[in-house]
Amino acid sequence: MCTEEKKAAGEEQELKVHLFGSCSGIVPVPDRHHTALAVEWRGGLYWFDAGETCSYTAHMMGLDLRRVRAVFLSHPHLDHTGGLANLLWSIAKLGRREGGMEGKRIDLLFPDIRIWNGVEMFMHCSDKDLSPGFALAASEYRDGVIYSGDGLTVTALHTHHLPHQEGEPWRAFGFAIDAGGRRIVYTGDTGGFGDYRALLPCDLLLTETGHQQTAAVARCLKESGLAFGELCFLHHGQAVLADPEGQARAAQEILGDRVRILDDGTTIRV
Amino acid sequence: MGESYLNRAVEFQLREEQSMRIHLFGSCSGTEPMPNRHHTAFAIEWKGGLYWFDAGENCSYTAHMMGLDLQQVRAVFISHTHMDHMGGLGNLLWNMRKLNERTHRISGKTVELYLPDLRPWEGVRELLRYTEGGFAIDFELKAAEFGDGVIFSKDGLTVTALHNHHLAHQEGEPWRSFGFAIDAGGKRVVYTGDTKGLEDYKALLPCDMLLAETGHHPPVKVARDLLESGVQPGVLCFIHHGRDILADAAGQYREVRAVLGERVRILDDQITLRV
Repeated sequence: MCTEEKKAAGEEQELKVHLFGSCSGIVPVPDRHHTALAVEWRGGLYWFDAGETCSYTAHMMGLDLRRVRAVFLSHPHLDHTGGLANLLWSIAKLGRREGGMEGKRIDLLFPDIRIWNGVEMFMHCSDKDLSPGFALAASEYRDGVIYSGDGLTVTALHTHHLPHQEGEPWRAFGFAIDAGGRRIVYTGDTGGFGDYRALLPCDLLLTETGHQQTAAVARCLKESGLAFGELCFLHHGQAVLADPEGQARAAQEILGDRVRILDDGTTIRV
Repeated sequence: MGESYLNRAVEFQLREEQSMRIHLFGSCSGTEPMPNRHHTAFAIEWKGGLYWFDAGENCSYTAHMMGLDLQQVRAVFISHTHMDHMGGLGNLLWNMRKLNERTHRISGKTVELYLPDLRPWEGVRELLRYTEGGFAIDFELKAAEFGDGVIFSKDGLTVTALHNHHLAHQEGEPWRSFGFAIDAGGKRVVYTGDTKGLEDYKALLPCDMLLAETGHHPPVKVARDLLESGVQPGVLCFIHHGRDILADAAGQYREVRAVLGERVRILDDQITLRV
């Protein structure tokens, strides 16, 4: 295999995570926006949660929003959904201006389809045609494999972040994203380590500090003996926002240097 | 000497109380994302209240970062229901609620929302319904559809709406796009909204400050039309920037200054002006 072929094969297998918003649902915090990230794989962007300003930040990071293949929302709280309408509007805007969206389809996967009903109602008077030349395919998902395309698979597992009634659907989820023999786990908002343990082991664990302490997560991971590659904290709560270095150190004392506190605008190779 | 200083201090305080402050949160039209500019939104501060005009994405974040207290929002006015004018409305209300949970300064009060079309508001409500705690609040959100005329008058501030031709209109149907005149303390600010041209907002002039959009008009044409009309504003501020200004703000500024002189400004996000 020549150098160029090797390079092309390497790029084909490249798996990245782009973080647009690292903040939990608190009042506005300098340099941090609400939660949103995308996994980049084989030229496609797979969007997880969509806090306000996520599409603006992604565009400023140099990402082409027309490459979005699917959007997955973990749960219906506004710090995870407040930028979805603008994301879809921006994709349509870029498509109208620069082309490249004709005949495409973007899958939208919701834990509660009523979120999509709200977004549609909200957007309807802005643009009669929300997806000029392309299709938006919205659906509600449950536990299990919810997406599989172009060698990337997304598996959902419910969490206890939201109250749940027997016989009713779960409305909050975490995800395992598998591609190229690697696994990323994004926990969504959780009721603790027990909510996402079944998604491990993984190569990158993205978990929230809005409802968990960094040291507690690190301790649970260590005691479990499960492989996690790198542990990255996002959806920051008060403790991390007040003292990110201190909270990072607290987890690093338990797990070593495989722990990071993420900032908006960060890209990670997996 | 001491008395003179005191008089000046009282005069200054009176001037402060009787002037409007305009805080601009987003200066961009509905283009793809632009560096350092967000979609259109601003607020007028008057006697401790914030009167919000349009609510493009990120507006409440920017306002909070500018040091404004979102709990002072008394009313929100949406010029028309395009995304670049209301994409941040849900987050604005969500942030107000979040702040109110800590300090309860809106508790028991009413925040008025004026929209030219209530259908998107139903969508915002639907989104908020599934957020934390079903968006239960201890203050009232009172939403109403508006037409031409005086739509708000409280605490010495009056808002008058005038429809424009930015959106297609069918005979017998309500107008869905508006500009506003905001009167307070003997001064008038006119915000054009999105327009078809001077004829859409001429009836709101004269004014002390004109906030005019350039998303659909070359800035120099706006300046020339105003000059020829003979009803030039005290200050002409361009907002909702279209591609001319986004590509070359300095060049566009030179052109409009050649027409109307020093009373023209091209506004950036996070600017505060006093009228």
